[in-house]
Amino acid sequence: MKRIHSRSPSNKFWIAVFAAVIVLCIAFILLSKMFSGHVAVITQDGKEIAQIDLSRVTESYTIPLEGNVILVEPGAIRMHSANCPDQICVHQGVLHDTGRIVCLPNRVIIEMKHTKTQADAKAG
Amino acid sequence: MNKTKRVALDAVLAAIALLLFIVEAQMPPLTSIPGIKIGLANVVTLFAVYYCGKKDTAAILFVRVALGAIFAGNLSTFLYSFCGACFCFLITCLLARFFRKKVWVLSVFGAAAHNTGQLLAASVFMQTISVFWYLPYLLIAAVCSGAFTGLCTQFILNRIQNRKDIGQ
Amino acid sequence: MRCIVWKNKTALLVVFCLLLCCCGCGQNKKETIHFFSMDTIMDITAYGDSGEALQLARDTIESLDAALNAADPQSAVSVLKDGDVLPKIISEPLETAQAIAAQTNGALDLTLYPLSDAWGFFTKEYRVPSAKEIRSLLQSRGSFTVRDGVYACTAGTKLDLGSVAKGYAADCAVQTLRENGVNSAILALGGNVQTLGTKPDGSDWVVSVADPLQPDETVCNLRVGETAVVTSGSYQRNFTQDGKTYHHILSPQTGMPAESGLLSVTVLCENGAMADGLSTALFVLGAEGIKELYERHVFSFDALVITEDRSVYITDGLTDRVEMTDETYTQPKPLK
Repeated sequence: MKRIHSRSPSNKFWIAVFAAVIVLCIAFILLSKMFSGHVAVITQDGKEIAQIDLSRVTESYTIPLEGNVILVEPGAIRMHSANCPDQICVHQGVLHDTGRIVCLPNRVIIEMKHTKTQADAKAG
Repeated sequence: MNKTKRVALDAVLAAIALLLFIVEAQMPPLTSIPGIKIGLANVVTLFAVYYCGKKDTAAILFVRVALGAIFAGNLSTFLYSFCGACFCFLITCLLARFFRKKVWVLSVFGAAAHNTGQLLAASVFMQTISVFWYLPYLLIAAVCSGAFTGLCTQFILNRIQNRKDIGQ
Repeated sequence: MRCIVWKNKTALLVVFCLLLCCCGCGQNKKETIHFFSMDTIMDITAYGDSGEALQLARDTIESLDAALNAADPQSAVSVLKDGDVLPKIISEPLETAQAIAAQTNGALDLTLYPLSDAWGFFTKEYRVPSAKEIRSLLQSRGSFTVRDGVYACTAGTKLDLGSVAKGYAADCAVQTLRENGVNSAILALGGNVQTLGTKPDGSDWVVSVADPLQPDETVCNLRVGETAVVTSGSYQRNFTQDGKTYHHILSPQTGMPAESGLLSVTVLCENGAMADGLSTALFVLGAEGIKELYERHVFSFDALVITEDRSVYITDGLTDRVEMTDETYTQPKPLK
């Protein structure tokens, strides 16, 4: 018994191992936050339809929704077309890393995740 | 220990575990991330592994998870905690022989296994693997809470082993 | 056997402290909901433990939307008849709007619905009505009074609370949040911003003001405490016909889009309905009218005015609270 005990790693060893695990996890969390600035979240009527990491898109494709078509390109996302009269969302252009596109009539939101802005809200 | 004593001890332990589980369920969540908790009931599980053996531990664990879901949860919490408990139990039993004297290390492994099991259940249940982004958070939580419950267990075991009259 | 104790108590203490650190992470909890109501997108963000409060605030806004929507013939405001006793949810915003109208020589007019409708600002089928049509719609718009909570109107009056509805909804939503234990929140109801308390760390909120020429960009940031921040601008809803752009803020005098030389007016005021109504009225009044009203001290508000020549003017209360983010606009000057 005593021999096994002396051969098994000490408490200090395990503390070091677990501390390393914590540090690795924190590093991973921070890194993933830094690099996931290009994830677009698409919702319609409050329901999430898709989450797309734009940095991993290699070929353009479209996502047809009720009333809207979203165009996903490498590193960018935009509203390709909409069946509403004012076309505001189509004219809002392309999103890369921040901001959002909203289609009011069809209740579609394309929003970049982890959008970091200085302001808490925007008036106007 | 005869059979009657064993059944009685298992029942008492299951009751204590259930109580801890329910009390903890009433407390406000520690963080905004779901699934992070101290896991006080794990103290009983660990104690049972050392003191009663694996079969009894499995029984206590199952009773606690099933009754816990009835008293303080629903079907989905049952599925999650059942998967978590299974993983935790398997890992604990596998590693128990290596950590006879380092309950807290075993406990950390158990907690990590428990959280991983819950995530697996969640990913199957919700048909998505994106829940695994939570894994680093849960691992950090597992190290902290596992060490805590492990040390608690170590404390209790010491007390009992120093007083041979109890439980014999 | 003593060997396995290994400073057990100290270790327990240390790990318990670690656990407590984990608890600390929960304090900065932040929850946001997005939803569509009042023909716009709304975001409500609450800090701390908000529980059901966000959903309740949303319910509050949606019930107000149902009651105050002039475009819905079944809404409480649309079915209002001469001699009706006004419910609180109509009388409160109505009183605010009437107070503004009285002090601004009618720059805010709640009876312009038929005119706006003729321009197509509700249906989005835009057109420029003829001068004759505008004149006749202005003459037939009717009028109303409220005495002891009873509504009295002439025939043909169509009440539209759209100019104060979002601000009033923000007031009510903040009330709901407060009643449910939230003491730090920020609401953006389609560009109407309302804050509750301060940020969790006690610092000011930062509210940016949209660039009227490129609405996706910002002109400046404002540091504010608990207040409503509402912008009215010609860029928010407009259409172009035969090379001329027509916007949605109509002058009650001419029945045409107000031409006051302004691009946008941002109003800060504790009362959301007041801020909302004032922003429309001030846009119609123009810079001189705003200065005159501000100096009369009948309403407690502050304003940031952006004029067509890219100048930014502020009232005294905003000194040192504005940080420009777009250098193509002038530094803020006192309103003259």
